[in-house]
Amino acid sequence: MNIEAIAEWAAMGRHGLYVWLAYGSSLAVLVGLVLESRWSAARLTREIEADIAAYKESGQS
Amino acid sequence: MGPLKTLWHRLGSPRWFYGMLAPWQLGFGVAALTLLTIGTTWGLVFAPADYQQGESFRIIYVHVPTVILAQSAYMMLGVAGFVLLVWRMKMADVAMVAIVPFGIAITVLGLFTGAVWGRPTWGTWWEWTDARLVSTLILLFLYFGLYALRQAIPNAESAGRACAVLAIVGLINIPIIKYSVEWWTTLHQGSTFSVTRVSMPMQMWAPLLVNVVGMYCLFGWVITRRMRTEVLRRERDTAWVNDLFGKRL
Amino acid sequence: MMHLLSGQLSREFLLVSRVRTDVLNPLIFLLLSVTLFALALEGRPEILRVHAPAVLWTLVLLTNMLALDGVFRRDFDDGVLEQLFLQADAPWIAILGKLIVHWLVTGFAMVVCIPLFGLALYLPAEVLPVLMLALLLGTPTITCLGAIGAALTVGLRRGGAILALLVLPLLIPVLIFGVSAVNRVMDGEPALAELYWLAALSLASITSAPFAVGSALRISLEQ
Repeated sequence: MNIEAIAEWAAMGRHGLYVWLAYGSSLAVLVGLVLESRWSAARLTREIEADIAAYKESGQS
Repeated sequence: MGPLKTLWHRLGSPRWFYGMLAPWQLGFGVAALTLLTIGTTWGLVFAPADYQQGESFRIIYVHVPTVILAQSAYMMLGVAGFVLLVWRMKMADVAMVAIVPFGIAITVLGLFTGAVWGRPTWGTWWEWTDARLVSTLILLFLYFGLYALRQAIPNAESAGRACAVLAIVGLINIPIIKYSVEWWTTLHQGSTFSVTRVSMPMQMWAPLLVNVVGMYCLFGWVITRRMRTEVLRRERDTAWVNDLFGKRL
Repeated sequence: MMHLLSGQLSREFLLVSRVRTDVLNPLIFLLLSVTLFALALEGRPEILRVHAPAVLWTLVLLTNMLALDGVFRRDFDDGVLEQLFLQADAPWIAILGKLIVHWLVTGFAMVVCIPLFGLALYLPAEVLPVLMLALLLGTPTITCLGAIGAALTVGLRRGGAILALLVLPLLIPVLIFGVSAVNRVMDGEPALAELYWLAALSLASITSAPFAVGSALRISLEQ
């Protein structure tokens, strides 16, 4: 597999722009969905832990 | 009836539900990553190009799974809505909350990849006389309606049930909408897109199948992840959530 | 059963006769928007004639959305709806009565007035009967599906915009068959298939909408 073969493959005939636009947008949207789902879970976890910490502190003082 | 009944009662317990979904989430995640990697590589590198469309044919491997999921997700919304209204199962509402954002994102992606495929293949980004494009656009509006309705109603429980009614009405209407759009486009025989040919060779449809299954698994991951978050959010003031996170401190 | 329905009908008619603007406003709005279109297309008869079916159907849909926003609001605000669900054995009869009267003063009123609007847009006179018939068969679906959206949003302060967003996508079949029927006749073809479809959709929505509206109103009342 040399560089030229890869370049030819990446050009996708004359349709490289369209193929890579479709695959790129799909990757972006799907990864975005996954990350957003993880972030919102992490944010909520942080909030709950902060609540618990605040509660424990108020109990000790 | 025994084990089914137990399962049914357990589904009413958010705590059990939260824990039960964890292994499913992991399984879906691993399966989605594996299948989508295999299917996409196969489709991009090893599958043969189409003799008519050339290399742009490879867009099928991202476009078709996306559109299938856009429709399946709405169907699941309708089913979840039905379960919520009939059996008042709260987890159905949690599922609806999780599915709608996924549905919007995947439908937008389906429309975009469809447009990108249409340009080199039929010479146009958008075609109003194509039944599939138009009914996908209408599907997006149905998702927007559900999203807007939930945002507009302040009371969470009423919002869930209102969305359930709307999802069911939408689900009943989807076949009628599809039929009417198809009817109308056959009247205007301008440019009928035909994608699916009768005989697609195995090397072409096998990666598609892998990606469709992979996309269902990704849907599974996103939905289980978001459902677990939603359960926690609703139950954050309860003892079991405090126990769960208190131990980590 | 029937006397329940007739009682409801006479009550609704009394209400409507007290607030006449409810009947007139949608029609005036429709006339106004037809005027806007005619002016925007610079009054050119050949263009107006071609676009008239599409323009009229779109405007009928939008006008109905405006009118539907208020269909349950007054009863919701003064507690009549709550009474209805507490007392009535079959609330769907009362709901059916409300829908019938609302259709008569909006949908049917539009059917009666549409020849005038059609002529204003230079639609040939021989097309007017099919336009009226298509509207007669299509507007019940608009009222019924719209009422489901109105019932879901009745508790919201600004339900109007959301109502249109919820309901208009579901009404696309009515738009397609309605416009297609008129265009067919303009091209000298029969439009029976479209009219049958409009009638079938109306029958289906009349029989099912009262129950959907009922459960939607119940949800809105619980808020």
